[in-house]
Amino acid sequence: MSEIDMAVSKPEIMQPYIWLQTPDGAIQQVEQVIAMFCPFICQEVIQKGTGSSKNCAICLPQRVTPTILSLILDYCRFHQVPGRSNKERKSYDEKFMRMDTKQLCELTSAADSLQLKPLVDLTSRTLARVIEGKSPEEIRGIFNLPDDLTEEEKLEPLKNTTADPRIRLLNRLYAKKRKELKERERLKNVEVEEEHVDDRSVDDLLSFINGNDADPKEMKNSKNKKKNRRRKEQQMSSSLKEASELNNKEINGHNIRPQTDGANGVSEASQSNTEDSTFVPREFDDGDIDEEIDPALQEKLDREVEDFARILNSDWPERMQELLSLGQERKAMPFTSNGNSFLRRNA
Amino acid sequence: MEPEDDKSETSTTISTLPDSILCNILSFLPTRTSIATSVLSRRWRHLWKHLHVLNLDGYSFNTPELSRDHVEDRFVDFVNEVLQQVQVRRIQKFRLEGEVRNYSCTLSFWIDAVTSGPHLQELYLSLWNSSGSFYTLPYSVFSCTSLVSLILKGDIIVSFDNLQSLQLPSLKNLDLEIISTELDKLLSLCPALETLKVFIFFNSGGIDPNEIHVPRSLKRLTLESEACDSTVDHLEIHTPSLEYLDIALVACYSQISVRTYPNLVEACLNICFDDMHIDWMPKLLNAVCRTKFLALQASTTACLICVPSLEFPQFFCLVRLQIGFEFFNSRVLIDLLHCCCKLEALLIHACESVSYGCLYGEPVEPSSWTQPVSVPSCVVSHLNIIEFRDYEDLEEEHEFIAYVIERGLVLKTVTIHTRTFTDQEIKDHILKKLSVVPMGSSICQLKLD
Repeated sequence: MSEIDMAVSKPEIMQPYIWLQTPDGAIQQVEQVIAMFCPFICQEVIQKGTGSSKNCAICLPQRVTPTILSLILDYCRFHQVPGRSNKERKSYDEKFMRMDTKQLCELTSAADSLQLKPLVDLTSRTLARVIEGKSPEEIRGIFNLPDDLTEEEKLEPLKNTTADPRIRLLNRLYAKKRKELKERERLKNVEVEEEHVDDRSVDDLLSFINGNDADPKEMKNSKNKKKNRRRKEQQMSSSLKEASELNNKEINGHNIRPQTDGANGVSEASQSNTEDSTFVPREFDDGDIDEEIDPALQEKLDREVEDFARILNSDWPERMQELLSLGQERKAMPFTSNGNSFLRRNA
Repeated sequence: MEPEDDKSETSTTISTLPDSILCNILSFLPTRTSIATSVLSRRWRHLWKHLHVLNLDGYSFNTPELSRDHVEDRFVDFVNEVLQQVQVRRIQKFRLEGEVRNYSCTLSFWIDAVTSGPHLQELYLSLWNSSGSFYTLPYSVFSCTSLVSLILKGDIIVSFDNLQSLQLPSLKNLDLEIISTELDKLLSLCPALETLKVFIFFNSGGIDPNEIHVPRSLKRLTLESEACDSTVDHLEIHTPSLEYLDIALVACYSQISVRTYPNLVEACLNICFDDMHIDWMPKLLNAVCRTKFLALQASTTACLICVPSLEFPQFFCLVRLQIGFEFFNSRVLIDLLHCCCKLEALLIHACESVSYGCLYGEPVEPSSWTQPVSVPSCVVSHLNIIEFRDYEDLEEEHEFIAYVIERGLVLKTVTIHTRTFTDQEIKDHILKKLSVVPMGSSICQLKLD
């Protein structure tokens, strides 16, 4: 459309001035190029055709007072000029932001109502800087926020009251894995390593991977046998164990005190203790985490920990090998699907 | 004015801001701080859970009493908690910096989770591992169709087995400062890329393609290599929309392909060629001849000097020229000025240190001043600002300045910066010498510091 056509069909676009009315009733005219920098004004002009004269001035939103409007127009006046370098704009913005917090808030509010996103971001950033590094009391003072939370509420911003066991599981595993790796490095030349070679069948692994939600108890029997074998092997390599409260129980070998009552619980709990020599527990006490989980869940977790660990054990050496050389091929993660479900909680 | 009134007005103001703006404010804070705001008041208690931006800083968890591994565990726990309580699929920006010692699998889970959301626009990872291990970026990043900006720094590897079903259709900004990537393959996934910034580490196996084909949509290219033995053989920059070019590397190219960039606004060249490829320099200059701002670093100028009978292209649009010399050479400068008919600002940096060692067998000949046959037209008609850094009052430097002052009819300011620690006596002497030069422009101001 040529300029002349535009002038005929939409005369207001050709005019250099736009009329604006602030909430107090006052009307003023502003150069078009400057005012049109605000999307809100742009919309009003194009969609509703207002602003072309004093009689049909654009009504600005409630929060745009005359003082604030003049600030906003200053901003627009500077930034609508295309030839400015980034440096210039940045330095202007810095100077522009020198105002008290109260005015900052008003400006943010007004810019938001005019849909002037760059200015909203600028003021938000500045307000963020005001908040950063200050204590809650100071912030409440600056913004005059009511101190209306109970002491209890204040103490638990991030407490995960649902105690997601899987996440904790993952954390524990990685801690254990890390310890194991350290051990391995230390004992690189020791033949003992080979006794830890995993001799589980592929079927077991597959059934674990595929039957993620399958009842672990079904697989318990075959695993028990393997665990017994492992336990014997591990007792021979006592030098590997790091001292910990769980391991202390295990030194006697077969005389392990059950963590819980119940026949199944006994063997399961004892198995998990022996596994510790393969993946040594953390240095610091994670007993406090376990306290929150009831014993039945604890067994289940321990079982899952072992299973999980076995998966990791099987291909970890190869993984490490790959990781240490460049140009590695990316292997599919055996537990990727599990991983997503870990995080796809009810958040 | 009563203080109480003031206060209550403030409280209405920030508290009247809608949640979306308060969240916007929080999005500029480190996530840890955002969560801390939940103790401020009832209104702020759950605000952080609506955040769409995560700024996770592993370094901030460092405390001297705890071991690094323990610190890392706390950080991992923290992020896991956060990801459970925010809406992961609504996350727009995910920024994480820290050291990844033991938790790279968890990190991949997190990345998989955020990239699966349809709103992820920016992914920023800065991982510097003291242990020397590195992190491989999961594939989920490369099928993230909403991603607009990808910034990777540190010990990260980007590599592909095959590119099927991988695409980054929305990616506009790519910033890589990582130890290894298959750059060309990565670029082939980004048809809409507008800004590309690549920094090649001094590392064999760094970003080491033999060919780099830059997407045609590219507007801004910054290519920097620390390596003095870069092995890029074929660099193709066929981007008609290129507006900004910043290259800093050693060129041992056997085959470079550039075109004239008609939209070029700014070019910064810091290129060092070895003997055999010096003849590529005219080609490069030709390609940037339409630029408005040109910056030539000392290494590039050194190359220029060594090219036998170099003919500069006409820089039709050049308005500002910044040129650095290891040793000031007026001949080259005058030749260049002859080709910049519209030049308005000239910044000279003598004694600039060279980024790349001189690769030439021939020693640099000391140059001396020879009176030009004709005055460059820009000096007479357009040049109004001259700035000279690290002025040593060498005869050649003095003669050049004097020449320009005399003939510059529209000069406004001539600013001379002497080298640091120059005696005041010497400065006064310089000023005196220059003040007696007859000024071609009546409004010219001479400044010295």
